Amino acid sequence: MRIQLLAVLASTMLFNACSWQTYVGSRVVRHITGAPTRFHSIVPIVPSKAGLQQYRVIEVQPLDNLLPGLLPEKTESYINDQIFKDMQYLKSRPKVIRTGVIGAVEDETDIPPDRTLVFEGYVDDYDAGYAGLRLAELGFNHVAVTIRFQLRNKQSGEIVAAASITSQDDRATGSTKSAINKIANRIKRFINSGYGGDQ
Amino acid sequence: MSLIGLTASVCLAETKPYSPKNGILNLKALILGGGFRVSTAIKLHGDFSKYTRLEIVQPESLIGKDAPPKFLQELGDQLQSEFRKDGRFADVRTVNAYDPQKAAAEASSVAIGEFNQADKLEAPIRSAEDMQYFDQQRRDSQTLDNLPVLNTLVIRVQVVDYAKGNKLLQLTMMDLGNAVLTLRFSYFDKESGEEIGRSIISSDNSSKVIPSAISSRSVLSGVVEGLIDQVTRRKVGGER
Repeated sequence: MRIQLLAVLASTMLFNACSWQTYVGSRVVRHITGAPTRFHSIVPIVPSKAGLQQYRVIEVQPLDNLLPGLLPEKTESYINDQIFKDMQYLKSRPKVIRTGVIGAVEDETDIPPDRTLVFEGYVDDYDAGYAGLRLAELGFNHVAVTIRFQLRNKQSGEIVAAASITSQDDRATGSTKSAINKIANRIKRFINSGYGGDQ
Repeated sequence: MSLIGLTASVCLAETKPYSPKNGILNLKALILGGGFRVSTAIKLHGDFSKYTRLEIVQPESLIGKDAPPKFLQELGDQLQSEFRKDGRFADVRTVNAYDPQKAAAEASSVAIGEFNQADKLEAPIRSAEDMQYFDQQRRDSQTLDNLPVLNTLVIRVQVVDYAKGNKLLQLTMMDLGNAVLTLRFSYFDKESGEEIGRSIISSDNSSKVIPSAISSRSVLSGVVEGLIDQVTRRKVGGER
């Protein structure tokens, strides 16, 4: 039994490590499936309350950085910019404004606060991984970015929707920017579903 | 006989030098899976060697129901049992909650002293209110709800990301359907409420030799190993 197990082990090692065909096959599979995005719904959008249609303004606040020693300032700005940029393309075009950022225009709007949503959240995880190890397909080396956010009714404080999104990239070509872009896009799709768009 | 064996194993555990682990690239993880990464958000600081007690706050989910209560319970139990097995803390417990802000406020408000600290000989005689306060402190310390705060390290555990994985896909050995677990650990000095470190530890069960579906290591083994490594490094470093 032990000999059989050792034989299986040895052949698996040989099969995995020494055959270039296997490496190419594994690379191809990894390139196709190696960048998953995990979406965790914390507070789902309730369609019976007409989704988010009643909210005509979304105030986007900068995300709280829970990784002060890890996340570069430039990347933090990039995340906030990208989320704001993607939100410009929501279905039924609510007014999207930015607050709490230098240069942000504090909008004097006539829309009452009960029809305003506040977008706020946190950067929970950020790791650039090791591209060299990803190329060699060795070790625990992927790119990972996690953002948790919520949409709050500005007047009542009620949390209307909340979710956490993790973008992971195991590919040698993976980068934190592409992971951030994917998250921003996924956030847009989630909010969009509340405005009657596709998720 | 068993007592001698136990004593010997305790002595061995105490004298054995600790070698830090590399979670990202090591043979065990390559063969069995359960590799881990540690990302330091706030560098662990302070003297960890002074901590003789450890309290692990019951893990909480930041991803809603995707980390089910049963899994959180299992995670808390495993952390507690591994720290007990490690034997570097005299007392390891799981607590339901810890509020660092409250601890900090209490630490600054205790200006009149502690019941178990002797006053200087030349100090004036204390008031009746002080005596009553000390009596209350004494009673509190004797109840189980008020665990000792001195030399206690508190670790808060939050689930940031979790995927259960798919065992069938794992058998393909193509890195498909892997389980993933990412946790945020915040370390507090129980007495002062100060956050003395914060790290993200993540693990998945991908392996290169044994299919993850039948491997003895899991994502839980990876993160637990990562956490124990972090705390032990700091504790051993302080003891030197």
